[in-house]
Amino acid sequence: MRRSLIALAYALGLPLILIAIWWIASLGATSIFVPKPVPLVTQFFEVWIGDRFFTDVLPSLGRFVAGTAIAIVLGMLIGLGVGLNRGLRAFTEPVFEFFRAIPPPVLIPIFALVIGIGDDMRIAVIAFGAIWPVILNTIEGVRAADEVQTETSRSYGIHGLSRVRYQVLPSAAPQILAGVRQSLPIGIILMVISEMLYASSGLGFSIIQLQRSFAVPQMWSGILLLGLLGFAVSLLFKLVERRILRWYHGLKDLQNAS
Amino acid sequence: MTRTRLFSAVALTAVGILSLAACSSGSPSGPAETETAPAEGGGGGELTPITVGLLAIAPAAAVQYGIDEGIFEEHGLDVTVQMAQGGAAMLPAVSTGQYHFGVGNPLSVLTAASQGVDVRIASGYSFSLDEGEDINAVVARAGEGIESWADLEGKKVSVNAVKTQGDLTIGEAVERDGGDPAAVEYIEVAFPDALAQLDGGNVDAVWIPEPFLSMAVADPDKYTVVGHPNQEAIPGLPTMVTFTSGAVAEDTELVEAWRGAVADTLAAATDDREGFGQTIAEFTGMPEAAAANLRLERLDAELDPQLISDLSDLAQKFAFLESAPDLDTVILD
Repeated sequence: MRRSLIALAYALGLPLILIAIWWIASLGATSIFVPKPVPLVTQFFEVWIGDRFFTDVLPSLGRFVAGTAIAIVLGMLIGLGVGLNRGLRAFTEPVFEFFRAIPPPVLIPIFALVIGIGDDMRIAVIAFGAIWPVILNTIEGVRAADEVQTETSRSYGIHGLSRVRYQVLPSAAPQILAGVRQSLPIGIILMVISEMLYASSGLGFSIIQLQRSFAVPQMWSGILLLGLLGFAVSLLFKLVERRILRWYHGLKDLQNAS
Repeated sequence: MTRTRLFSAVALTAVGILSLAACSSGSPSGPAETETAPAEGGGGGELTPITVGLLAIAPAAAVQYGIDEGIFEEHGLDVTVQMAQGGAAMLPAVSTGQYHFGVGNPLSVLTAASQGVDVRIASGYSFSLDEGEDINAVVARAGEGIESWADLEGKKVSVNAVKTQGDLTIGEAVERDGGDPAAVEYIEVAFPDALAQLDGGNVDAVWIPEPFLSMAVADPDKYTVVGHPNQEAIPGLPTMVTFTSGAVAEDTELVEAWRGAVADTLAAATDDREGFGQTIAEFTGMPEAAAANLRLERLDAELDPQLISDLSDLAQKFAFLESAPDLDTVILD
């Protein structure tokens, strides 16, 4: 009980200090362009709880989930294929480096012409941007599989899919998940950017809209929402990671303890 | 008596010429005597440095034309141009005094004013044509049954920015035609991409200004003009105004100098279509031939306050403005 209270105090300490500094610093400000903590919080509930939740927040979340899910699944499949095959790796690596270097936002107008300006374009942009850390980390993770382990699996006659399932995937999992962790914020960024162009709904669209109509506290409340969203996604990821990598963290704890 | 008057006139002229020479040679400040020289006729006093925010669009090039032709200098102004992304992005810079004046659309000014930003309209700038072929229109694919405003009901229409002049005037036009303005879906597409998105079937109609409108009109097999929304909603709608804020707005002399310079500049640019065309080409980077043939909005520094009042009423009717801005304050006397 006491320990969790202390943990909570540690977690909330810095945010509270920052808010206090901000609150004091903005006390005397009269410019409407300076955000203040209290109106921002009241606006937060006014703006985002209600119609906008269904017309902007949920569609945005849908695009983010669809885009990053595609990126993760496709990234792992491609990464596994390439990682397991030396020839394929030499064949594809330069192309991967080429495409990875292209900033996805510049592709939005091109995607818009080829795919159209609907949700599929946005999901494609998110998936295109978020896939690279997953692919590259999966390749590295698969390549780094322990030689002795691989030999052992071979001699026990574990081949093909079962080798992937029981040896390769588990040993690559820590690195794959590191890739997934990197891909999540990229997904959020691209969700917002893709909604700023050719848009009629979504978080990115609303924030631009509020900014244009000089609704400054409301606009900042949208940015606050994005921050909270990022925080929630990383919490969720930690939970999932803890579950998947329970053995790995257990091992680490043991090693650290010894 | 006559002798002294003649003498002082000569002296003043000499000082005027000297200070002009000082200015043209790039001296930051003229000689001290110029302080006593009368400002009338221009060139007598020091130039007041001002910063003006502009958008990279053809009508805004008129300010550049006025600078190049020395019209602002004649009015005692040394203008530095700052390019802004959009009208709304320019407003904070004007309200904090970074820019002395901005040239942008009046609806953004009204929106800002209704949110408590201190911003005042200093003069008119450009106006939609109140009759004939206007400089912007809603265009649809030919032969697909979108012939009138009411046909836009339930359709996707592209505008450059949602909740600005495009969807405001289209909404009013649809309503007057007996349609439901709330049933039109607006999608943000930049003007240069609009026709491509219309071709691709991603939108059903597009709101486009010149030069894209002329491109569409030139291809009647492919495109049909639904109508000119500005003329339906507010004929002669101001498309851009000049605005200022705070201490600059209180500086009556500066505002008067600015107004005079803008009026002369716009008149000169309208008269010298060829020279203005060249400035547009340099300013916007469009090909010279296109700039020379570009159909332009009416440029005029005079602003009928009724037009702003009508715009404000319309924007409140469609809930673009939450509260009515105080037009007596917003429109600078």
